Amino acid sequence: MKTSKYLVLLFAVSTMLFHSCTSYQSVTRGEQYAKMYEAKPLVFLVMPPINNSTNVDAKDLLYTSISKPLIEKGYYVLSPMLTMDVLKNESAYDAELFVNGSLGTFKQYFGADAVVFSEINSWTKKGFGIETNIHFFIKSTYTNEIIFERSCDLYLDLSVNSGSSSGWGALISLAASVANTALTEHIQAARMANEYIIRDIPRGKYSPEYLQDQGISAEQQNIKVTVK
Amino acid sequence: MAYGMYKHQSPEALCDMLCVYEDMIQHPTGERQVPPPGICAEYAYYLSMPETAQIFATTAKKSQKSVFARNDYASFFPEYAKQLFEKELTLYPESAVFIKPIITKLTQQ
Repeated sequence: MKTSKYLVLLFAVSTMLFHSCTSYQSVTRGEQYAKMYEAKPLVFLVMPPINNSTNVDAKDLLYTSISKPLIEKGYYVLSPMLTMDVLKNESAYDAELFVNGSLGTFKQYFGADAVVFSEINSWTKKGFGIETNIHFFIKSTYTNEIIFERSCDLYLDLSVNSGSSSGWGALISLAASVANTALTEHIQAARMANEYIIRDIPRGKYSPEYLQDQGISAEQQNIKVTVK
Repeated sequence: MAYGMYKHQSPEALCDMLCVYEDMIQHPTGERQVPPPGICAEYAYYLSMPETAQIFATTAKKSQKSVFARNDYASFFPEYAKQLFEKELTLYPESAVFIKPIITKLTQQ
């Protein structure tokens, strides 16, 4: 009897903690991401991540997994496979070169309405898992303003495998395996951090919820989560 | 990165990748039942690489080769690549600024 009371209490506390981490009742998406609704971007260009971590492979590994969640939310994302070739040829592979500059060139040559920047602040193995801190910000190519911004502190507990078996998952894994097959766990962490960051983004043109989700409660802009 | 990846990709992995792309094109999922943005273009880009046909012809398993209706890969892959770029344009007209110059370049080759 006493044990069941403790379990109920534990469940209630866990639920409260979960909601405090993920839900932000008092602010709607319309309020939190007002500039995104105003800009209504359709075409995104994903820049290679800015790597502030000590993991030298982090940049390429994260880059392969950014597009999928954005596409799933209804946006057209220019293929990073194709754009990276162009960026490298134009010596424009480093996002640091553009993060504070004019983004009009990306509109002119790629047709991008917005550019997706990401910063990897940490990406290390810790205990039985991987700890990451990733910061995303999306800037309009028309105004150079930030129209969406979130960050995620994620700890991936590797005691449970949570890979994907979809065609997308297979493609991302194949891409990752080129860099280093031993780093697939890091890719898993990156995918999850991306999912958490992007799941609250206002839905794009190819989503049935396009321009109908302003009233939904927004999540906190900076999230901290442990996942298995 | 595509070319960088292409260069470092094992022939077996490249064949696997082409088959995954083909499956995504032939059996699209989701509410719209069309390939996701960028997939036709990415697949076309791989197919348009000069070495792809040779690698596929010499490395692909029989089951992988059966995915395609034709086996004259050297002429089929570039033709198919152009069709796929066109398909990307049709499905996603907003890709035109980036994709049209690639199609023009392929046509001139």
